Amino acid sequence: MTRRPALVTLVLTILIVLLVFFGIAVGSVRIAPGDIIRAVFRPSSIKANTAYIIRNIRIPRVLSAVVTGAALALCGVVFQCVFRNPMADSYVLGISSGASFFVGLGYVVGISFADVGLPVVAFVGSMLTVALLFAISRKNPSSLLLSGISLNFLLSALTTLTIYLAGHQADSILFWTLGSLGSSSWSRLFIMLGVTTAALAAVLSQSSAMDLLLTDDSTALSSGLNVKRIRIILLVIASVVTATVVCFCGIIGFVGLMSPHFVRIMVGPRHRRLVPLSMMLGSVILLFADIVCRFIVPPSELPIGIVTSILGAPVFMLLLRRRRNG
Amino acid sequence: MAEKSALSIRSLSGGYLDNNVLHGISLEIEKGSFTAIAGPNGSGKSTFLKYLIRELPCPGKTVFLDCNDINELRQREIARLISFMGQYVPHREEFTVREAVALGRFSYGDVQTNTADVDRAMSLAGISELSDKLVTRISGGEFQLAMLARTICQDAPVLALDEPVNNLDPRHQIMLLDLLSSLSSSGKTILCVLHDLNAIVRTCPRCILLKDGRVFAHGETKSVLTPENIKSVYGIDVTLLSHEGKSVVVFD
Repeated sequence: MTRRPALVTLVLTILIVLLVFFGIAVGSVRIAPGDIIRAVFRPSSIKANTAYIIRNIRIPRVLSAVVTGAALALCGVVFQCVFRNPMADSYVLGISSGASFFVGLGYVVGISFADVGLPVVAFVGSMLTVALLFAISRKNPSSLLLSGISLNFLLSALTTLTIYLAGHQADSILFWTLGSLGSSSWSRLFIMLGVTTAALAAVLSQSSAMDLLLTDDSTALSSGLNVKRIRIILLVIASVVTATVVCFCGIIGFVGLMSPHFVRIMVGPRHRRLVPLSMMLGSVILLFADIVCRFIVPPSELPIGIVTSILGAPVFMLLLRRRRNG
Repeated sequence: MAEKSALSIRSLSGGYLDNNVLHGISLEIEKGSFTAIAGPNGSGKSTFLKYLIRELPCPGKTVFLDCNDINELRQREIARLISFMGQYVPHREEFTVREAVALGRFSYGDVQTNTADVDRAMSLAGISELSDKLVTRISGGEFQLAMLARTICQDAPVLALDEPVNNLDPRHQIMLLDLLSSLSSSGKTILCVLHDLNAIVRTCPRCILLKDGRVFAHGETKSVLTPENIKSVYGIDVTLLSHEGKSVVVFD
């Protein structure tokens, strides 16, 4: 079995750098590569308008794609580990829908969303969905995936209901259901970066525990792992990250499903490698999806959730088929 | 509680929700002993082992590991006192054999760095050459040996094993049981659920015979596995023969 983590790291790094540059260059206003460098190091040497677009719109946007993709992949790895199911991620399990439903509900009942209120409501929604999932599948863990998909249907329907009831605020809720990086800003980027970095540090500190969690409860427990406690810790971490992503970018599906799947094939299941490399691949996927969104219907753009779903659904079907074949 | 007890069980009763499987089990397991646990299906053998690693919550002051009440120990401390090899559950994840064995070091926090103990455990289990193979691509028997290596790698004074020779061919069965014997000779306490009465007679100096969640007999194997006891517990007739100084259980 040949595993090449160094080569995978190198390839992903190169892809991220290239896609970041490409992502900054493309859009309704085309930007020359030289202007990107100048806008970063000597903004006074180019047109003020171009410098503004690069520094305040394009760079925050592509960096948001990097961080959001990484965050979604991190959630995917964690959910797949906790539920011991390679098809689990925050979208498939309905956790993102839970967050968006609560945000929609908040609009309908007239909660005033300050900057802090929105993530809190999204977090409560994602945590309640996780708790409900656990309760439903506690006696029969194999039913988890179907339970999650059913919950996803239910919560998506309820979110649609909030759109119907929300009147003039329907557009705001619709934003969450389709996903977008269009409202990226430096302040939002820093919040997401902070949350994702803290989550990454916490998850990496538990990488051996996560490896052990992949075995079975008896083995994990007898090896010294407090299984219940680590599951709760990991679920809280992944739910906080999911809530943060949903809050700022809406529902972006399947990135958390695809990234760990491909990285696992290339470097194996150990989380010390799987987590950071999945996050890098998550960034690549979202950078690519964001560029596709801006290419298809210029000068307008497609919601990014549509593109990731088109890319991810076949991977989900492939996983389902492989699992059925044992 | 005797100083030389590796394990003390005091009136342990319990099971799953409203299904009480064990009824007032009391036992002392001596340090360095090799004890088989035998009994019919459903007699409580696996449930008993689950209490020893606190997979099932122990009622107050019923299970003592090296004179410590198990309820007062953290999970990592329990893991340093008793390692456990469960019934055959194949891994789905593509760990290499080395990675799977190294997980036995979790309670010491050196899973990533301790190569010496991992090498030693794989060598003892006779699977050094499988080191880089994926656990999903080896045979059931090789997988059992890898799991035994993980249990050895945990370096606890007590090893509890639940039907470890399942999936093994006769040669590997003998190899595994002989390895457990030598570990016992080197001071480890071995507690092993086995169904094969001949394997018990051949390998285990001591035996616990369970029936309906109660200890039917406990002591030296030759005084526990008598035709009368076997008839009472399993409901089958056997004859014990002696051949060249070795006992053999023959089913009538």
